[in-house]
Amino acid sequence: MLALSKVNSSNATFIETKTMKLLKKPLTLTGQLVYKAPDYLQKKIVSPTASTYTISGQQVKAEEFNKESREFSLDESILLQALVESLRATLAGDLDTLKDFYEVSVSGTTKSWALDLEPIDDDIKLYIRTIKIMGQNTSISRIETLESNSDHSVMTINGVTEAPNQP
Amino acid sequence: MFMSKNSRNKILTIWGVIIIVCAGYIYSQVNIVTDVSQFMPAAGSKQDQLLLNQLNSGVTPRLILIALEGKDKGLLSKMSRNYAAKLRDSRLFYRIDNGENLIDKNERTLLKKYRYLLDTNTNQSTFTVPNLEVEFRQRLNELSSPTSTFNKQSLREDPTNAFLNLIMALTQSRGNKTKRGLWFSKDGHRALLLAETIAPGYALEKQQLVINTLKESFSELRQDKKGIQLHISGPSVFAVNSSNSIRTETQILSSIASAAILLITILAFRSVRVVISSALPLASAIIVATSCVGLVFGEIHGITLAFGITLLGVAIDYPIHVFSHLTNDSTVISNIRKIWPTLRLGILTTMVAYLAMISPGFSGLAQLGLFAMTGLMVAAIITRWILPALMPDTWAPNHNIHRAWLEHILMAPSKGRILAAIAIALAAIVILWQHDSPVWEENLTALSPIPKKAIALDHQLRSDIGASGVNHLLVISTDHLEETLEKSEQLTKALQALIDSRTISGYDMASKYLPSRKTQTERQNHLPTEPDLRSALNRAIESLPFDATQFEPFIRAVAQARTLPPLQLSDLSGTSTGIRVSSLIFSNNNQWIAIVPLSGLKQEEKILSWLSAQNNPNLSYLNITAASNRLINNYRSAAFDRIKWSSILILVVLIIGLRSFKQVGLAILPVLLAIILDVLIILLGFGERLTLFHLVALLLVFGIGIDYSLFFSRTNEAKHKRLQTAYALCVCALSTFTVFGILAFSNTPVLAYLGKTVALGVVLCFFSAMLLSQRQSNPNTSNDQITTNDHVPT
Repeated sequence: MLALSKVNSSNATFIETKTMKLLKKPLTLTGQLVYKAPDYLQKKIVSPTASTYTISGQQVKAEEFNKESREFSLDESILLQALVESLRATLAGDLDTLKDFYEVSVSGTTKSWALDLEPIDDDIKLYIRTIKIMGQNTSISRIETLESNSDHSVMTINGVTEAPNQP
Repeated sequence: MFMSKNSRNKILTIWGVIIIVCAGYIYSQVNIVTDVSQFMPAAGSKQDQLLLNQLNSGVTPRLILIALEGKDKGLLSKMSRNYAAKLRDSRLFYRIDNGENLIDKNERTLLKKYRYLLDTNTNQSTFTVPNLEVEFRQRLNELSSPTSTFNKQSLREDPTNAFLNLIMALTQSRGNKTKRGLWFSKDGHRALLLAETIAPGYALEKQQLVINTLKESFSELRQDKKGIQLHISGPSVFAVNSSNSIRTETQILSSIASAAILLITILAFRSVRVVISSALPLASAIIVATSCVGLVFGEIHGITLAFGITLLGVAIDYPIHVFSHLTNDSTVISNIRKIWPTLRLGILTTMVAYLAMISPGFSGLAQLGLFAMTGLMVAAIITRWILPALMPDTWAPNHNIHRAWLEHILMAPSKGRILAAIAIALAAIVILWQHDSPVWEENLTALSPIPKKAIALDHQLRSDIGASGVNHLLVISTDHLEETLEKSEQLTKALQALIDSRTISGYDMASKYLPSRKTQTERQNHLPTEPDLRSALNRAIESLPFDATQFEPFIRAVAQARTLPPLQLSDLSGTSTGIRVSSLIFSNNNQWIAIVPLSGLKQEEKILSWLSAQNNPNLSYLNITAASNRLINNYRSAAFDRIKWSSILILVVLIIGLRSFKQVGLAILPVLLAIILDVLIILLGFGERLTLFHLVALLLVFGIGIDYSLFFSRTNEAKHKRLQTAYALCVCALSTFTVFGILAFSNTPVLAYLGKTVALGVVLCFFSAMLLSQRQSNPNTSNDQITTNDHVPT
């Protein structure tokens, strides 16, 4: 976790597989993730349709396929904030913020570690059961999300390029 | 003539009982109301009724604009949420909008149930295979979104997003800019909230409670966040603040004035007994008049009380006239009897002036007239019968001070003066006639006691929040609720054309939230049967990865919507949508009236030509500001009309009382001269225009002036008596001038107008009555007159 806080910015590609009851077969998304310390995060989905979500501080910009782009604040939804922090606070190595939303248990070694996140807030528990984040050294390699209705998603992250914090 | 101890006690006891009974009645039964509408004329036209309805119970007077100002946007957002939540808990508001999602669980359930009947998108193609396929494809795209974790559940029952569209339409038409999910000013320094109070705008006590709650809740939340400031504005905030400042100011000014009167009476009569007794007629008059109005009208209006007491101010003079005429050589009672005919004529004349105010159409004026009349009558009775009972048998004020100048003026020849007075009066009338700038104040805001700074803040907040008060309205009225809703719906296209041509930027309408029964039934007819929907759904998702079995809730919801009874106004009661709807459509005198507030209207003539093009007998247009100005002006001219009638009555009373046209002319001339000069000085000297308040003030000037004139004309008296009269009138004029002169310094325009007009008028009346008073040179006519009157049984 501490090692993560030394990263200033990172770029990566991802593949995300969402399995849900509504669909007969899983939905697979591919795209890029961009992180800039301390609080900038962008998820750019390339396929099946292009959408970009950019978060800077509390401000969210959503540019979705076939829709007008909209802006809103994470303050509006504790659910969304919790979801964003699971990734952003982890990337920032900010354990305090993670603990605002989740019971955090850490396992493994610095080289190969895993975070288990269990939501604290009842509102969030309605939707998310656990989020498991796995990583090597200063980068995240895999995020498994188990939703309360048993839908689940797996995101694998590859080709991470990192720039360390300037001293 | 002496009064026995026994009859003295009897009189005092009766009086005491009456006062106690009246005071008890007022305390337990008489409500002081502040509803301005009662002071308006009974609305004649439908439009006026609607206007009054809007002014009283419409939404605009109940809106309070709130801004939280600070530098830290995060802190402001948090504060906005917490503050809104706290205010919602207070139960003082129908709604607190700050941009958050405001529709609660029960209302969501209701709206969800009715979504296919309420959603404007429900039409014959909604549930066709191609349309469903488009919808499902879009939903599939949306499943990629990170937020799908939270909202995909609703997809099972609402794959066409009917509910979402409905909620968006309901909340969007509230027409405000959202930033970061909350309302903010453009520069981001002010988080904005809009509160709609449950209490009507005119209920000042309740509004005061609201304002206190706003301030207290804010300071409780702020505690450690000193960087944030609270600003509030709105019609009720203005009303409460100005009523508070008027109250404070009135208290200060009236304490100063009472002290001044006390000082003057002490100096003039040097007797504590006299000073105390001189307050009794006025005090008793107020108490009895209040209960009398309460008895007749069931309540008394705050304005009646305020202006009524002002008009009764003339009663302060009555005991002064009496005391000044007391002498050591005869009893108090016989002295009072001597001046009683003159005093009685003065009182009767003034009462007649107020009588004209009583007319069936104007409840407010009628109250005022009744109040002033009964008050004067009581003051007269107290002066005539109670005061002697309180005095020693014989008493006289100390008249030692030599007033050579008075004597000089009183004894000077008079014929030239009367001609001069007539000439001055005519000249003044000519000047008034030639005066080209308007005489009457048409712009009511000129009377507004609201500080400029507060108005600037209000403009700022209104433009920030995009809530320009409802001023321009379209009005649709028919005999039935459904018909009014249907007529509203038929206007939708024409209104959209107005938006497209940028004549207006938007509008609000009840049928947006509550479609007519007819429209709801039509939409219902577009809903497919269960088997049809099932097969359409299956075909729509054939090429998509959706699992058809997951959409049973959707099929059930459509099936249920097919058999729902259309949503009615009563179903919405207690919901935020219901509150909105009932402010936009309501019944008034067996009519169902829908109002359509127009926003962003710049060129009124465009709406007027649009309106005539519509050629719709159920449709009309109302500009609230213009209409209320017109209403007040009607009111003024009606009041003016009354004054004409009262002048005629006054002449009749004076002719009966004085039995001589010449005497009547001489009694009236000084007062007319004074009033004409008073008006001239107000218009030209102060550069003001006349209002209703000036009229009330001039009425009081008349009442006071006619007393001066009658007393100065008591020509049957010996020289020393005339000096006594002059002395009494000096004291009267000085005290009245002092009281109203103090009022003239008020910051509240209404009080200042009243003060200036009366103070000036009294001085003018005093001098013109004194200079024009009759001389002993022709004692015959009047001497007989007064002597005769002296023996009229009283």
